[in-house]
Amino acid sequence: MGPMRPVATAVLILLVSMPARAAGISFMRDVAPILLKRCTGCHGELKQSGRYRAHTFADLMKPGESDERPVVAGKPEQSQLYKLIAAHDEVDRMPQKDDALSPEQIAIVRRWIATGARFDGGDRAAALKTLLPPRQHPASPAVYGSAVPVMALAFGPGGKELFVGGYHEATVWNPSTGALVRRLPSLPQRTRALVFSKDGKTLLVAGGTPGEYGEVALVDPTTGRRRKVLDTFDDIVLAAAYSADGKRIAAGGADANVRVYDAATGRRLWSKKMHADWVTSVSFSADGRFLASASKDMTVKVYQASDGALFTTYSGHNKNFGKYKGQAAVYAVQFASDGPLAFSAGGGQAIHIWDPVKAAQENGTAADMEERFSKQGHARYLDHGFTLDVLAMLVRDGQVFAASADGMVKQFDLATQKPVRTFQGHRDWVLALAHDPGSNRVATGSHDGQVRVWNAQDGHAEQSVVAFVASPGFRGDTTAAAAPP
Amino acid sequence: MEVKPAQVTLDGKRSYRQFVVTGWFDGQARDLTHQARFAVSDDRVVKVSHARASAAGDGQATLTISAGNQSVRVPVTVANTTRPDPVRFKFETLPLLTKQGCASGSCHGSPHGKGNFSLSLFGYDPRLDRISLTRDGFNRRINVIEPAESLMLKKPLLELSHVGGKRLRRGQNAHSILLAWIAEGAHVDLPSVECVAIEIDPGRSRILHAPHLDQQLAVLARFSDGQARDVTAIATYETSHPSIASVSDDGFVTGKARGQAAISIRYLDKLESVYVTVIEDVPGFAWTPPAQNNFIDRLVDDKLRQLQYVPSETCTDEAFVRRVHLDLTGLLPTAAVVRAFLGDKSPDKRQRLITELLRTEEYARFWALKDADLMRVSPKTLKGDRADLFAGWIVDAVRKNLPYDKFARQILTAAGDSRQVAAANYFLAIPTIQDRTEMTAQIFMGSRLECAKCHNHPFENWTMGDYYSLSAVFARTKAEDGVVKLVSTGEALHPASQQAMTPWGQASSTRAAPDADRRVPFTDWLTRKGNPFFARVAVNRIWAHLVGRGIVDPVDDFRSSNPPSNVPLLDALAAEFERSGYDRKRIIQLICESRTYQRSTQKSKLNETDDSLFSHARVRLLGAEQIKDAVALATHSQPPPSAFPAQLVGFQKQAAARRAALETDHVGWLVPAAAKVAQMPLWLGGWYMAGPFHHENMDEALKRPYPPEGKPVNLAEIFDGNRWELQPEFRDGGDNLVGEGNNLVHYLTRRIHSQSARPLAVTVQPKQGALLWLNGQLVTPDALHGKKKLTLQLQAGNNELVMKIANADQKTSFRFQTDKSIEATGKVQDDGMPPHVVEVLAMPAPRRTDNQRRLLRDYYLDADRDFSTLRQKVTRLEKRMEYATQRPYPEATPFMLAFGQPQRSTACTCERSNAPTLRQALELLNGDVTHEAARVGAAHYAKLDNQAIVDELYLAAYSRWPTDKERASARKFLDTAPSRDTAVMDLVWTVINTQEFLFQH
Repeated sequence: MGPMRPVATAVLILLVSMPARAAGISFMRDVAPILLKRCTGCHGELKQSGRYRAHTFADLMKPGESDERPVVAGKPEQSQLYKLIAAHDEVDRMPQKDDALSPEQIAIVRRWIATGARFDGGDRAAALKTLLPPRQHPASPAVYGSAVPVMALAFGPGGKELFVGGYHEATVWNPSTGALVRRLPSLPQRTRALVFSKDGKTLLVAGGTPGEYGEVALVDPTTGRRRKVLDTFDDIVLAAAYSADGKRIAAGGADANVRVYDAATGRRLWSKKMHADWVTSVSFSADGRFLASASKDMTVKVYQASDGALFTTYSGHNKNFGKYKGQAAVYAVQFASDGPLAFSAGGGQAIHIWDPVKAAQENGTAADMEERFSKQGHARYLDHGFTLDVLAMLVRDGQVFAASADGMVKQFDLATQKPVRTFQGHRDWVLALAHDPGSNRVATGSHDGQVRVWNAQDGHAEQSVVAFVASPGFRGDTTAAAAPP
Repeated sequence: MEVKPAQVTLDGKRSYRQFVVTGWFDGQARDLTHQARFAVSDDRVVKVSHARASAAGDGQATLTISAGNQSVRVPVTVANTTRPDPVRFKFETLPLLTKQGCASGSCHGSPHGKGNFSLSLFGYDPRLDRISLTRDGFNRRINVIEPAESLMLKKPLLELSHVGGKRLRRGQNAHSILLAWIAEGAHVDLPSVECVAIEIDPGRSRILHAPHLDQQLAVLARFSDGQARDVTAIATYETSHPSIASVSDDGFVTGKARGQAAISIRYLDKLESVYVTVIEDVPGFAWTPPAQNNFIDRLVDDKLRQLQYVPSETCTDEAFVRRVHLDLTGLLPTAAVVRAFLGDKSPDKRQRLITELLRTEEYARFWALKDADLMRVSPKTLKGDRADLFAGWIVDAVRKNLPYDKFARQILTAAGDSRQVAAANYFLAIPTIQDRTEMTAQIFMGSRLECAKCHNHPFENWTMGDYYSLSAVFARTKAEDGVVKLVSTGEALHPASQQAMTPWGQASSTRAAPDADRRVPFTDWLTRKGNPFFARVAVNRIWAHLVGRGIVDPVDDFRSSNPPSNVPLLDALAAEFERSGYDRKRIIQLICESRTYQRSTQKSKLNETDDSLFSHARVRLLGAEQIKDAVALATHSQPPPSAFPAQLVGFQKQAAARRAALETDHVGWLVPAAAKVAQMPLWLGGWYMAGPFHHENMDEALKRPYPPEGKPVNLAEIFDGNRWELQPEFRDGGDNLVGEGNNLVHYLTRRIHSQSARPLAVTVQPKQGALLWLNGQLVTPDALHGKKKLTLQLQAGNNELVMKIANADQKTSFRFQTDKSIEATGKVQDDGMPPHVVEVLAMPAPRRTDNQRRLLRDYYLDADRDFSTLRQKVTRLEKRMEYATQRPYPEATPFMLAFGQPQRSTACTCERSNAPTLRQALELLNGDVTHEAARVGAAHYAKLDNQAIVDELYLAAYSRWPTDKERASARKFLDTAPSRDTAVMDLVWTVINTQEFLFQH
């Protein structure tokens, strides 16, 4: 460095004169949030400017291109990290081409180094953001200025209440009248999955903040209190499910992870990152042997539910041959409640119905690839007739319900493979589906914030029982913001 | 002082208008925008900041703008400030995503997007963008409840990791607008209104004279509903040369260094450019008016003087004689020519040489080669003799100096059999509508249109609409079986709207007759005087051929963001070209006569940094053909082309004499030959073929009867334009190519004559599926697939064999052979005479047609070895085969390819490479071509005495006398060498391996 400029000197004198409150500094609490907010954008998993990364503690301490030690414990002036954030000259200063860190932030980093640069986070190799404690969620808006897209729905026990994913909350509505019953506040920003435990006493809530945070939590369905946060993810959680016996929970999301937990203890049983893209849906087989995960990477992966060993990959949504060929993202996978069959759908013209064991046999090896290409395979196809992608699907007692980006919701009979009813009313992408077996009613939610409840029992009643915008206090016109699909 | 705009109307509370204030000092413009003072009569109506007026409230006001002692008053009207003024998705959000770089080709605008997020390139498909932004990924990117939480803002702000880096800053206009758009509900309406034009102040070009290097731009967009809005803050700015002029996000241009740059301004699919010339005073620069020979020199010198470059001296006679020969004929001048030129003391000798060279056959052939490169003349694409026909036509056009508009018209409107209408081969070389669109645009409009096939052109105003309206021009031109025909159906659909486009050049209001030739109105438009492309592109190509760099460079990349380095020069040349009636020779002559062309390659301190203004000549590596020929000429390993005419006449005479003798003989041969055929117990005649017919499915194709099927063969019958044609090259036992292409059906027939009823065993091997009939009876109940032995039950006399061949992919061919192993077959004629000749000989002489008589005669003539050798020699000389620069499609040898010979697979001049490579060095140092040339050359030169060897070699290779020093050292080398022959060879080899030899200078 050249001769020190007067201003920089003044700052240094000021900093040196501050009392070092060693006890008051925590890396995880004070320093890591600064790194995550201002540094890891360029020095992290996606980008490694100057061959330096700061997204794990181990990486933070490793020199980059310059070979200068980033952190020399006790000696901020010899620590490249400190020197660069405190540099006066904009050409040298970090973050580059951006506003400087605030004097308070610079002082925190300095004090942390000066007091020994201790790590209080546990795993040095883990991404810092996964070491942060679960977020405390802010309050939900008292009144919604805009309608929030409905991405998760669940009927409460007995079908008396309908739970809807909101913004930093879940809202509870009367499914017959559309009246707001209560609000469960301070949940993740977006909710993508709401699932009731077998006993109806716990609500599994999965969601997060797109691009930065995911959360899976067990919530009291009466008060909304988070009883336990099972896990946090690097990106929003897009799917969660209970096993049929209620003993296990699975979740997966935009960071491509699939994870399984013990429902009773909350302990993580396994975590796998096998997909090349977002995990959009997860489902346990009826016998509890398998877990399936669907992904935007055009595959469905089937794992042994016990340990996460990959059992097989279903590639039927990415085929160059046969009648049902094409390359399509998969947005929904569900096992039948009474047999081995899996149902999967997304882009393309059909819902695929297949058996994981047969799919594994057909996968074979590279050597017989040609033969396999020419074969039809065992999968069956249910032509759905939607004009756009299927975004949500449910399989219940010989019935399949599917909802599409074209605004349509359809009910199919499995025995005849024919559509039974088309529920028509949404004017935007339909993102969520729930079914109440007691009343045989279906609830659907769309991007424009609308929730509709339909009668799946009666042969004629294809008009919705009730329709409302599940954004409390919202007074606007939902159609104004909607783009036609 | 000049203020733009002269009046302002602001509509809506977010509306604004950028001012551009120009001061004039001694006739030179200087930007005063940010020095001028703005006084507002009523700040409740309008506010001004950074020379930008923005609406404050409804009403009228006056702005007084002053600089120095001058001032200008601008009336301002403001309306509708109390109404909501939401952000417009199509006109603000999407242009901003382009401006911030999000929708660029290397980021989310790439075909598959980036990081799971995909936008259309520069927003050409708003329908896709609105789904991507607001729906895809489960509402991932937009947060209408807390707009600042939106991922589409947090990522470019670098609040989250973003591979694309920092693309947005808080407080920046782009950030506020995007944030407001989300806060308002992220509306994605797509009104049918379109932007029709953008207008830039201060205009198309500006000179920035140091130290006044700033220039504010203002951009006004005009819309199809008659509205106009200032888009200065949301337009995208780019500079062609960042080191010469930079431009900020707000359209503020700063000159950086002496030179010329184009600032491109994009808004939606509209793109305009402002040409900026930056002038700095160069120490030591003083302008002494150089000699000027014509207007070219005047315009080049004007530009040099403006940018303060001093041109180089005029080149020496030695440099000139070599340069002009290479440029006009492709060939080095011979030692004799150089000696004569250097000895000539007349002042007009350069001009006379230019005129003389332009009259030579070598000029016509060498310049035709350049056209043939672009037109893809190659035997690979033009089968049979079509490449020759087309090339011959081009040579003839250059030889006759066919006006270039007629040249273009004859090519672009060609129709008919390509054997009769040679220019029609243009469409045969490029059978697809895509190639026709792109090649025509590239050759005649100097524009690279291919980007606009899938999206609006990233650097140019070309839109998909333009692409498909040019496609529509060729949508009704079919090229099949060597015939270009016009059909009355066929459209080019715009991929987005699926609407049939109006063909380019045709007024959209007129509904032309379906069978009208759409190419005619296009060609009318193209060749009309004042067409923005045609003349400019043509003269620029000529300029680049002669000078080594286009005024627009690359020569086929005309676009507003790639401006000419000297606009008045290109305009004047184009105007002269039009005035002269598109006379290419005239332009070549003018350029060669100019001092600019005749400048030395020697640079000075005052022009060494110039590479585009033509202050000095360029040192250029010779083209592949030129090098090959230069080696041959300098080493005397081939006779010089000047020897051709005498040789040619000699061979022609010999050939004619031989032919006359043979024609007499052949009459005597006919009778005994016919008698011999009559004795044959069995003969097979020539194959006739009809087809192709097209099918969808091979099995059905074999079952379904096509017109020639199910009736006796009548060789005169025509089926949908198909007729039976003799296939003289088909041979029994050989692989006979039936056709190329997918899903075709062909019918073949031949006559088999037997003196008695008998079986004939044959082997038939179709490449794909086939059926056979003998005398109308199907002999293959099951279709043949692959090799099969059959026995044909012949009747006495003539038998008619018909074969139907269907194929599914690429090529279809068959083999047919009589089976000699079977005794019953008996003797089949086998005296080497082709079947179709036997068949004609079997006919009674009076029944033979003229064609058949000619066929017999040609067979007889071809069979004579002397005659065919002579004929080959004549053809070779006529085509000047020995010299690569003299052949319209020179052979592709490793040597030629190493030196950048184009393969002719595109219409881009860039296919010809003149970059030095390692392979060139290997070819020169170790290659067969140089080795053989040195060997032959040594034999030639060794006959001379040592003094003469050096002189002649230097004159032939370098077009100059050796210097005293060179002469002395070369002589010493030869005089003292242990083996004189080896020494001469080494000397020849050394000379052709020098830079001076390989480069034009």
